[in-house]
Amino acid sequence: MKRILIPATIAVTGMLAAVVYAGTDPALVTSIDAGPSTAAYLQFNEIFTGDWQQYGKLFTSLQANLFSRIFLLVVTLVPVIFFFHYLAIGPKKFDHSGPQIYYFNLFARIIHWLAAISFSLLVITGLLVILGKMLGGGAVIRNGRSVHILSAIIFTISAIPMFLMWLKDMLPALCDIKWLFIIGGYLSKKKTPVPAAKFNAGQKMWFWLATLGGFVMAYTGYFLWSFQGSVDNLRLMVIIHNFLGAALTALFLVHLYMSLFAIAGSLGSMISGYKPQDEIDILHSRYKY
Amino acid sequence: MGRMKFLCDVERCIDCNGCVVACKEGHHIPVGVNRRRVISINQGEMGEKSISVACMHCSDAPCIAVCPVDAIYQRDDGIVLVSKKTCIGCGYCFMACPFGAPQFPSGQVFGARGAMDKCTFCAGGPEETHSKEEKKLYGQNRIAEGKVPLCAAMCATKALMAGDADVVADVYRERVFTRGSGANAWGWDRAYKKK
Amino acid sequence: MAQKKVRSTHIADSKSTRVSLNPKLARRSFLKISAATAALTGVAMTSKFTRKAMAADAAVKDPYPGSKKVKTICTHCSVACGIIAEVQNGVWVRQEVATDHPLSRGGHCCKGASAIDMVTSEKRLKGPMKRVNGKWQKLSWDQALDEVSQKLLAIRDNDGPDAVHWNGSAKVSTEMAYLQRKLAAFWGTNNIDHQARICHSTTVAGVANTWGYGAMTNSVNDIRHSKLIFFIGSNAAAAHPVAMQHILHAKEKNNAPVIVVDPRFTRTAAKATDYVRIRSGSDTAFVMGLINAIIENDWHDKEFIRARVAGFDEMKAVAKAYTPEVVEDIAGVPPEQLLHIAKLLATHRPGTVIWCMGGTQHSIGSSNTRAYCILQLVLGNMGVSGGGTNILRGHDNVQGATDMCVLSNSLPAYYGLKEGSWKHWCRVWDVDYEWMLGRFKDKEYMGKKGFTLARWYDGVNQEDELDQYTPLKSVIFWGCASNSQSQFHKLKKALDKMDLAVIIDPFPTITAAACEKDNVYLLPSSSQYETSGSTTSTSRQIQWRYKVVEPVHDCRDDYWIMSELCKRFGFAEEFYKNIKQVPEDITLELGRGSLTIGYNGQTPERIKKHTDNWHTFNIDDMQAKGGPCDGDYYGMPWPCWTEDHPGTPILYDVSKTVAEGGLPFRNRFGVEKTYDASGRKENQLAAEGVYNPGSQVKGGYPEFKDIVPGTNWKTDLSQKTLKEAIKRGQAPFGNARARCVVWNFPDQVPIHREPIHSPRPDLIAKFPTYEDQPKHFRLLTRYKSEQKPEWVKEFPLILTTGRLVEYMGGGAETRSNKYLAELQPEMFFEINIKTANNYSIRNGDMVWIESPNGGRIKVKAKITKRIDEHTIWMPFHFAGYLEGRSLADNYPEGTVPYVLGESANVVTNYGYDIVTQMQETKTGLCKISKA
Repeated sequence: MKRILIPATIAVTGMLAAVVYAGTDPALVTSIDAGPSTAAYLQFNEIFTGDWQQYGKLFTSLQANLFSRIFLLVVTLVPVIFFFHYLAIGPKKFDHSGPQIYYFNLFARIIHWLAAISFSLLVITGLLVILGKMLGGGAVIRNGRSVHILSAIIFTISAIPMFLMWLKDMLPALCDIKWLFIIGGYLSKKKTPVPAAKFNAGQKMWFWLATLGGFVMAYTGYFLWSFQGSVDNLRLMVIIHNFLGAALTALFLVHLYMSLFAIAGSLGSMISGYKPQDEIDILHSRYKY
Repeated sequence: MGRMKFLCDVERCIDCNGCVVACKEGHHIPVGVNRRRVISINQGEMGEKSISVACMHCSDAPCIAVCPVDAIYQRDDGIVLVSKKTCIGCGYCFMACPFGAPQFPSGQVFGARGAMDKCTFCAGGPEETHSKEEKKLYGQNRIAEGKVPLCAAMCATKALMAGDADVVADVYRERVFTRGSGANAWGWDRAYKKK
Repeated sequence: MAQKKVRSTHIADSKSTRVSLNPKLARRSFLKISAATAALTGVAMTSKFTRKAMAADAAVKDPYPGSKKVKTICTHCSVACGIIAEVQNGVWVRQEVATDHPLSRGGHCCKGASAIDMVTSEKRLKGPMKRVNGKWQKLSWDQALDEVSQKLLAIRDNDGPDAVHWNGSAKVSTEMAYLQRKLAAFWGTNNIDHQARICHSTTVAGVANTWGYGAMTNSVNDIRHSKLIFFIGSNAAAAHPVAMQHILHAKEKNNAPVIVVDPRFTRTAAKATDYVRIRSGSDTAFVMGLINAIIENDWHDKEFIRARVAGFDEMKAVAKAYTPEVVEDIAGVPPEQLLHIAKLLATHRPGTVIWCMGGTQHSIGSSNTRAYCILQLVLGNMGVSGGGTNILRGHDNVQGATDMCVLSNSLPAYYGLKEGSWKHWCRVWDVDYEWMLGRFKDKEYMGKKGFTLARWYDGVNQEDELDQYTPLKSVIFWGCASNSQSQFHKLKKALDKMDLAVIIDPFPTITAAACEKDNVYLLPSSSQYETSGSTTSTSRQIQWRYKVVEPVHDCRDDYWIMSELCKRFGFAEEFYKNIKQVPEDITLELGRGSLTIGYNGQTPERIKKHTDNWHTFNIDDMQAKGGPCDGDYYGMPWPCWTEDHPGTPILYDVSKTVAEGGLPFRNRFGVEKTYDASGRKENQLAAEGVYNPGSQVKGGYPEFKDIVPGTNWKTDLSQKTLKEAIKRGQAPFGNARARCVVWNFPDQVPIHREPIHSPRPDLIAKFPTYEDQPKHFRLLTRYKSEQKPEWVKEFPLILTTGRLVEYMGGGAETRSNKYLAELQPEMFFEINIKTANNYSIRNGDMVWIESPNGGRIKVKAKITKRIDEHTIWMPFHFAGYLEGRSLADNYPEGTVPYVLGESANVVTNYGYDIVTQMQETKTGLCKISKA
């Protein structure tokens, strides 16, 4: 790469001279040996581009080539897969006329929806930024970035009680492995009881990623907002933020599909707080109500 | 069509900050935004050297590559400019730049950064040349007037050069060559005890 | 929005794929590259660059239609860079680049690059004000001037004319400086002084007494021809950045060694080939050591000394004492380094010596400056291109103001205060000598040197016994900072004791904030860009500073304020007898009188012609080749004897005819002298064979007199004497030798004396200072009684001060510039890492610095390698805090500078030069403690 431009060229050509200078007559050392400018250029390069070599290059090539593509892939591929899943397997339907079990209390629902709305906004505005060039940039994206920052604050606040309230239920259990083996039974149309307690392994994965990952996102995001610390640190932060963001976006889409399409009426349970007993018996067979 | 470049001669730069203030005063840049900076090494000891740095208007500019909204573009003469109306202030260009050129004045909302500001090589921006809007957003457009950038024109010791790459390189080459007849000529110190 | 640009996302792709397709951009991309590139040749090292930057193609739109471009001169330092101001509808819209200025070639330091800020700054005073019950109150100009003049006249009636002290300015035009001196004369006092007192007064005294004129002998541009550049006590990279352009040229083109002698490793030292760290205050010892080494090794220019130097043997005998070992003891320079430098000086001729305040601001400042001169004499570097003493002056017009002698010891053009001098100027002013005498208390006070800027406040405080019938009751600061004077805390005390303090300045200055009594008036003068006049650069070049815009706000230009004051003082008619058109008639009047220094050839028309055609002058020798100023040297460096004289680019150059700008050394001190030290009698005129081409006398000759009977070349207002001398190919002032022995000084040959506050008790015993001077510029100045060997026990560190590139002088103007303030946002002091660790001071810690004279300041520590472990260094531009207390509330509303800080001069010590009362701010003692 020709990015170092002239200094580097001169640096190289000056190396020979530098070697000769090493043997300067000691009697004349009282004179400041001006030394070749090349030595200074090398030192300046160290200051300007030194840390750039570490993460700067990585960040530049990731951002230029990878991030927008990953996100694009996520937001196209995941829905496509689910589209085919929907066609092939279709939604799981449960008897909503049967007994209803009080599953989510009011507090849980409020917290969930606070987090859900802010998280959705985060995903949407985040996508706006990362895929900004398709939209031409400007005011829309700029406002999107402001919304992103505001949503981030709301999400971080709501994620704390959510984390605490569901922590116990979200702890991994042995049955989670079984659940994973059968991918929660979503690949079959049969209604056989699936090994899961209040939350299944998929939900647990989503929970941990959304909360712990969310905190990481908030932490890295804070740096990107405030521009604190060294530039190299920022580069690392943005790399983490984007990779994690892509993963979160993917799982967000999964969650969206599950709640809206894969399990018919599942959305209602988060609104009313009640789940049909039928559904619990099948999908959360180990749940004691 | 020439290729515009900056070159700062460290043997000449005396850290007087003339370039920095020439830029700020000429373009009415808010305090805190530094399109150009002077950096010194080895301060107070032998080998103290200073250099003036702004956007280098790189070929293959990393900032252009990382900009998520394509706000940064390069003109045919190599000058890299930003469209402030397109810019969203994400700061990626700052992270990609090896020279720390992109600057961000604070914006209005949540202390978020405003649109990126950087050296324009005194070439304004995408708005109508010499329009009020261009002057307000980017400062003067001296390139359109056929003038060299302010920083280089006002350099006290003519350390900072700006202009057509070939001419700049020639001037610098001539300087290095002239110096070569003096203190730093290859082999002179050994062969002739420096004289 | 549609995609504007096509671009490959692949980073390694060539740039060609990223070409803008926006038609608007594409059109504009085809800028006039050729023009831009042509202008760029200005950065080339070619000496032939006199072309104007190629104007933009007519097709290129003008950003400021109908604007006019005004050529003017930067008002910061004495290098005097050109500025082109673009003015549209009476508003200064943009600062253009004076690429074709023969000196600066468009270059500016950060101060010059924001020159426009002097006019546009929000911190400017908006109208006249006075302090009432501690609050600033606006008033009209009429009311302000009436009140001020009535109060002054009342003081004059009650306490005599000498109860008022006038502090004039080096920041005004030469015409205005001349009027300031004239005003003091008409007021009837010699209590007038200005910044030159504390800047280069010792240079003027020392250098003029060596060879005739106390100014830079060559020019900034002439340094391009130097084979060696010897800086001592000068930090040109910070104080005169644009001069570095020519200095670095010499370094690169001529392979010239650059030697920097300084207690601090400055930014100039960063560009040096040799750096010599001396103890502050040991200049004379070091330079006399060099002279001794040069003579010992037989490197001196024997022919030059034989023909053009007087008192060499006597000087040699004194220099003998300064062996390398003695110099090492005093200055701390290793003998090998001393010899190395001496050899460099001997093998690189002609070399130039450059000094500034590091050499002048000492109690032996006038010895330092003479030692530098003698060094050049011994090397035979005088009167040649590339040689000389290139003394860089400070303020933009300090040379002009010094030439107009806004000084308490002389009338304009160095005529002194003798009866003959007064009579000469009375003739120029067309007033009766007896009338003038009547203005003074009596004849004694008419011829008596007045208070100086360095010590005027002691004329109020009376801590030392006065030699004047009344203490000072009033002070006028007309374009002068007060925080540049040492012991500023005592000055502040004096301000509070005064009956009246008047500040005439575009900015309120610290003086306004430091006066905490209801005795202050603020009269907002305009900046120098809002008025016109001539200005003399350090190279003795006179340029015309054109008016850019009319005075802004309710400011008035200095000339107007002066005439209004004169009217109210009742002598306007006499004062303005010859002056109808301002300022041109003033230029003519001062020229008519200033024959000694040849200010008569530079008429306003000629000065303007030079400035208008600055592009026709050659950058190498500053001569116009063809054009309207054909043959002239730029700015007609004085002396310019007649209206067709080209100016004298290099003083004492005997290779040119006098009519073409050549000169021998000046005959000023008689034709013969018997030296006190040796008893030897020596002819003071130049030897046979030393003369300017075309001279009728082929050797030395005395100064011209009685061409017009009863007059000499200095007093013949008809100027016949000057013309006759030039006709004969001779210098009007004679052809003499330069003096190594100045018998009218206390030290006839420069000798080392320890600073008043010295860290070396053992050396105080060997090299003690002078006896106390009871009648030193109207008051007692203590030397021996102040030089106490025990000071160092309590105050162990050496204190020295210096310049920052961002600020100028007291900093009232520059600290009110937001961009400069941003670059240096706070006061600090530099301390060596070892010293800092010994005191457990960390970078950024607040530290109390205390002086033996009672001042103390609280400043931030900056750990650096620039300074050695025995010394601390501070910049002196800051003000606004006093001994830890902020004075921000004392400024008029909206005029507080962006940066306030402790004034270094609160802790600079007592100590003054024996000849000129220059303050000793470059070396003193202090103690530090963590705050």
